[in-house]
Parts: sequence; structure tokens; C-alpha cells
Amino acid sequence: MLFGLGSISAACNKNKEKEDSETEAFDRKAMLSNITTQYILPAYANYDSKTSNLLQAVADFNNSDNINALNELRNNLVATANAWQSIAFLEFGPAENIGLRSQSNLYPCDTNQINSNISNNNYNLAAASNFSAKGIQAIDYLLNQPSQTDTNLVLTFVNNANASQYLLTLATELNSNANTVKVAWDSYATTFIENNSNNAQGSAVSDLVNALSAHYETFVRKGKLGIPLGVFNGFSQTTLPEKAELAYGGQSFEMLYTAIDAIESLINGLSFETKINGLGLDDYMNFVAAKNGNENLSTSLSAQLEIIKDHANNYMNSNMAEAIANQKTSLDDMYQDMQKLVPLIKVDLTSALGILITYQDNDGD
Amino acid sequence: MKFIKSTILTLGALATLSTSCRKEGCTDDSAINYSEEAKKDDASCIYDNSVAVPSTYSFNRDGVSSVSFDGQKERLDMLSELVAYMKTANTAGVAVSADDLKAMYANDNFTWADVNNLGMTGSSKQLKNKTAYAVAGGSADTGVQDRFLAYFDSIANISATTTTAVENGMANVSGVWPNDGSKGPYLMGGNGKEYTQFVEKGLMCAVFMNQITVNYLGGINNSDNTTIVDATAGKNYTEMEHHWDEAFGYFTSEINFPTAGTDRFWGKYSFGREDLIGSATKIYNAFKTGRTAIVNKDYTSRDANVVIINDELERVAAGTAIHYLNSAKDYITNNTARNHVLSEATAFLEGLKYGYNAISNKGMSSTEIDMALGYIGDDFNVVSISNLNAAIDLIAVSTGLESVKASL
Repeated sequence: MLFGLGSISAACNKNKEKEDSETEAFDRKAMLSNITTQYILPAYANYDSKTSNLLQAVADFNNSDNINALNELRNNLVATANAWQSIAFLEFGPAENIGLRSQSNLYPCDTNQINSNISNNNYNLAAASNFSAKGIQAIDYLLNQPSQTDTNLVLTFVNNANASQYLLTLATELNSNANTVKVAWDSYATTFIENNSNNAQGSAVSDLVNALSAHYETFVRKGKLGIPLGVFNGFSQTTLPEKAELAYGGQSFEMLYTAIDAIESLINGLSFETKINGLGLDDYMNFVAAKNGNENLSTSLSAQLEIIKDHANNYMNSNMAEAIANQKTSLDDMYQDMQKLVPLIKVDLTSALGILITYQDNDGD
Repeated sequence: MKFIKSTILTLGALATLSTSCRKEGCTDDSAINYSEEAKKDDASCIYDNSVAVPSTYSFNRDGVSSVSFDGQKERLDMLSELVAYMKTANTAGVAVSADDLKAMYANDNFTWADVNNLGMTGSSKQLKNKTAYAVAGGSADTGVQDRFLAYFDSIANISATTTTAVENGMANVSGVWPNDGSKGPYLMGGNGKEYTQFVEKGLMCAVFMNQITVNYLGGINNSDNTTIVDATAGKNYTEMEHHWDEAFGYFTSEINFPTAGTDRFWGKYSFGREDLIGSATKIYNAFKTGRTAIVNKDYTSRDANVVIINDELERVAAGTAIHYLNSAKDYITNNTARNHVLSEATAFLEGLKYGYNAISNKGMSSTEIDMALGYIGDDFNVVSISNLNAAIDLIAVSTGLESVKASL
């Protein structure tokens, strides 16, 4: 009898050890460390530096008030917007804490609110009611106002100190928020990397994948293409090109390309600048042998991201209104391909790694 | 009983005759201090008649249930009907009557739907006279009652101005705010306040939590636990048992919580944050364990479970408020959704004041609650993320939710 009990308990212990070694064999800490040091920190440093350059370009423009400075400023805005795409899907931890996405890149912007703020010269940019009147998209409007020649546009700033001041205030706040998050990551990096004991709600892997999935579904698929294309516009499906990102400057597809490229870098564990391959979510998926049909899930994800990038490449010289007017059918195909990526991330990736999607509010009241 | 006594006497008499020859102790192997070595019983046997904690909230005396909380079930159903009626005003063009809302609050000449046939119409039970007791066995606070009456007036006044199919609510314009892609439509003031939430979550706290923690559990040690109130009239319980059951009935109407009972009020909101805080399970277990302790007259255990219930209800309200403040950050530019969740957060925060912990200065104090409410401000349209963070941080520090505040 005692012998029997002994052998049962020994067997139990053996099973337990086996389970432990299985779940711990993928080195989550090494993956998180690679993603953090090689991608996240440099990407935030880059965004911070681009917003700082933008602020300087605004100051230069306000001092010189000529077309050259205007164009230089516009180039800096596009550089900032591209840098934004590289960190936009990291809305957890420090970025989530200050609501970086809502503070920095909401579109469409509210041009009435912007104009009223300028004419009243009295506004609190921190108030929720002003979020649509600030950030990258508000600056895009101010620098590319419709039916204005560049000469006239420069004159509107020369003749309106409030407008120059508003531009400067927007660029200052954008840079300040970028800097806040970049600095916060200096200490948060360790917290994030060490939060690796499982993939439960609140763990680093769960935070990262939830933020990635939420951002892609809502702000890339829907925001960058679905809404302008009219997919979410009720029964009429009337296109809404004016709701595109950088609608006034016209670089909507460049932004979409950069956003997809950045997501691809993150999933594959590439370093930010040099794109050197390190431990990423792709390795984690391969480790747990995650499949999409007969194919490795990581292969399917990469292939689908490449397909979307190929689509975006076709429209690099078009703004959203032109692309919709001339190539609506191909854009519909592009949207279908963007839609196909949603379940690969939101269902297949999360179930392979045992992550619970937490970003949908199910309170239902 | 008689037999045992006479046995003990007999054995005792024997013991005096031959004290030195045999080892003495408890020789009854059904006793908890049974001694194998004892050859001679010395009347020291101690018997464990205690009841074990049951799997569901069911307790019997002589084979008949001793649990009853019909009055609480009525009041939960009253609030359910009140909330459903208020929400009809979320449809543009539907006006609700302040008189009806007040009649429901006071159960004054109101005809209820009474879907569970509890006899609510004409019953003596009401929400109004149970609002915001300051002490156990106290009475309702008229100042707090007046707040709710003012909310009813606001709902009725705004709803009277809405026009069929026109959702025109927006900043500075009261009315029905349209669905903004995330949430809505909701009837709200121009300041974004959704008074329906102030009433629902407000009464959850100022009546249900207040009655549980301040009135019933706060006075549990003064309740009689020896006399059966009236077994023949169905009152097969002591006063203390009954008070504990009434407290439970304000938490949930379901004895098999959380299999059932997660659809409304404290059952719903405690379970909603269960993964991160675990309060639903802790509260339910504390109610069962404390009730068992009362049967066993183990008042140390009973009082420990009172503390658990007080603390966990506070954590549910505070954790839910943080959850909604985090949501407000996500919805910062979705005007209807943001103002809806800020209304919920505000109501739970304000409601914390009516729990035992705030009243007895054990948890988040009323001063801290007012400070957090101050960060949210009086006009939900101009709230800032930094102020929402200040409110979240303050609530989390005051209620021990620091480690989960970002995930809530």
C-alpha cells in the first residue's frame, strides 16, 4: 500500500517537472529584451528626435516666414508622422498612461475648432474637447490648407500672430508628449522585460500583443483605409477621403506603408534601424508550432504583411482622394487583404500564445 | 444528553476511588481531544458540533431553511425596474416622469411590474428610507435622499426636451447624445453627466453597500444569537443570522453565486473585475464563512469576515471606478462614450463615501474621494488625461489597487 502511494506521487512530480520545462523553454525574457532594446527604445528615441526637429522647424518658419522654410517644415512633419507609425502600436505602459495616440495623431482633425482656437487665442490643449484640434493632423491642416497658394499660406502666418503661436504650441506639446514617453521607457523597460512569467492579462507579452492587435484592427485597417474607403459608412458606403490620415498633405499611403512595415519589424524581432533579425513573436510562434492550415503562422503573417505593403506601394504618388477616384476597385481588394490580417493576429496569434484579447469593452451598458 | 451527564458523574465518582492506578483523559473517540492512552475518562471530552462551510449560501435548522432575504430581493428588483424606466429616456422623444421616479424610490403608491411576484406593489419595503445610514440601526440621510430626488428632476427635465429621432446632445447642449461609434445613445446634460448612472450606481452604494456594511454588519455584534425569532411563522433564524442573511441579500439574490447573480448590481460589478481583483469570490466566501461562524458561535471568525466584506466591497467600487477612468482615457475623444464612463466612475467614487470603511476612516476617506472627484471635474467635456491619471493614482493608493491600476 505504501509502495503504491509512493510510486503515484513520484509520477505526479515527474509530470509536473515536464510541464514546467515545456512552458519555460521558450525564452520570453530574451525575446522581450531584444524587442525592447533593439526596437522599442530606438523607435521612441527616433520619434522624440523627429518631434524635436519639427519644433525647431516651426520656430525657423515663424522667424523667416518664407516658402523654403514652409517646405522644410512640411518635410519635418512627414518625417515626424513616419516616426509616429513606428511606435503607434505600442499604446500600453507609458504611452497608454498619457494617452499618447489621442494626444498626438487623431484624424480627421476638427478644422472649425482649430480656427476658433486661433481666433480666440484662448485654449487649453489638455482638455478632451481640444484633442481633435492638435497633434500631427492639426499641423498638417495648418501647413497645407486647401485652396491656398504657398505664398498666401505664408502670408496668413505673417499676418496672424495667433496662428504662428498656435502652430508653435502644437509642436511644443507634441514634442513634450513624445519626450515624456521616451523618458518613461528608460525605467519602464526593465519592468516590461521582467514581467515575463506568463502571458496572462497584464503581462508584457499580453500588453504588447493586445496593443498591436487593437492598433492594427482599429487604427490601421479601419482608420487608414476602411473609413476613407466608406466601408464603415452605413448603408451608403459613400467614400470619405477627407477622413484620411495626412489628408491635406496627401501622404496617406506612405503612412500606411510605414505602419505595416513597422508591425512587420516588431513581429519578426527586427532591430529598428538596421533590421537585424533577433528573437521576436515569429520565433515564439514557431516554437509552439503555430500553424495556419499547413503553413507556419509566422510565414502566413509575414506574407500577408508583404501583400499589404505591395498594395500600398501602388499609391505612393497619390493622395487618398485621387486613389479613390481612379482606383476604387483595387483599393477594395487592398482592404480585403488588410481585413485578412485581423484574424491572423487577433485569433491565431493570440490563441497560439495563450493570450486573452482584453481591449474590447464587454460591459454592454 | 442525560445519559452522557450521568456517565460522566459515574466515571467521576470512580476516578476519586482510584486516581493513581489508571491514566486519565478523554476516552470517547468521537471527541476532538480523545486520548488513546487514557484508560479512564475524566470528563474532559470536548465535542465539535460545528457546522462546515457549505458550497452554496444555504443553511438549515432542524431540516428547514433558516435563510431569508425577501425584503432585499424586493429592493434589488425595485432598482432594476427604476433603472429600466430611466433608460427609456435614452431614446430621443421619450420623456420620463419625475413623479414616477420619486414614487418608485419611495415605493409610494406605485404599481410595479413585479416580474418575480414578490408583492412589491403596496409593500412596506422601499429604497428611500434605507438611503445612507450613518450608523447601524440608524436612519436615512435626508441630504443624500435629496441628491437622488434632484437627479430624478434632472432626468425628467432633460427628457422632456428631447424630440423624436433627434439626437442633439453635445457639449453644452443637454439631450440624447448619439452613438459615437463606441457607445450611446444616452440622455446626458450639456456637461456630459448621465444622471441615470448617478442613480443606479449611487443607490447600489448608498443603499445596498451602506445597508450591508454600515447597518447590518456594522451592528452584527449587537444582534441576538440565542433565540429563534419565530420558527412556526417561518422565521427559523436568530436575529444575528437574519441580519447576516439580509446583508447577503443586498449583495446578490442568488444563493449559488457566481453561477447565477452576475447580471446586476454588486454581483455584476464584483464579478466584472474578478480576474484582476478577485473580490466576487472573496465576498461570497466571506458571507458563507461568516454565516457558518454565527451558527457555530465563533465570533472571531465572524468578525474577520465582516472586515473582508467591507474591504472587498470598497475594492470593487474603487476598482470599477479606476476601470471606467481608464476607459475614459481610451474614449477621450468619443464624447458620448467618454461622458458615459465618467458618469459611471463618478457615481462609484461618490458611492464609496457610504461604505463602512469611508465612514469609519478605515479606507479611502471622504476627503480623498472629493479630491479624486475634483480631478474629474464638473464638466466632463474638458477633462484632461493628466487629471484622470491623478484621480486613478489617488484611488489606487488609497484602496491598495496600485499593482493592477493599469490593467483595470
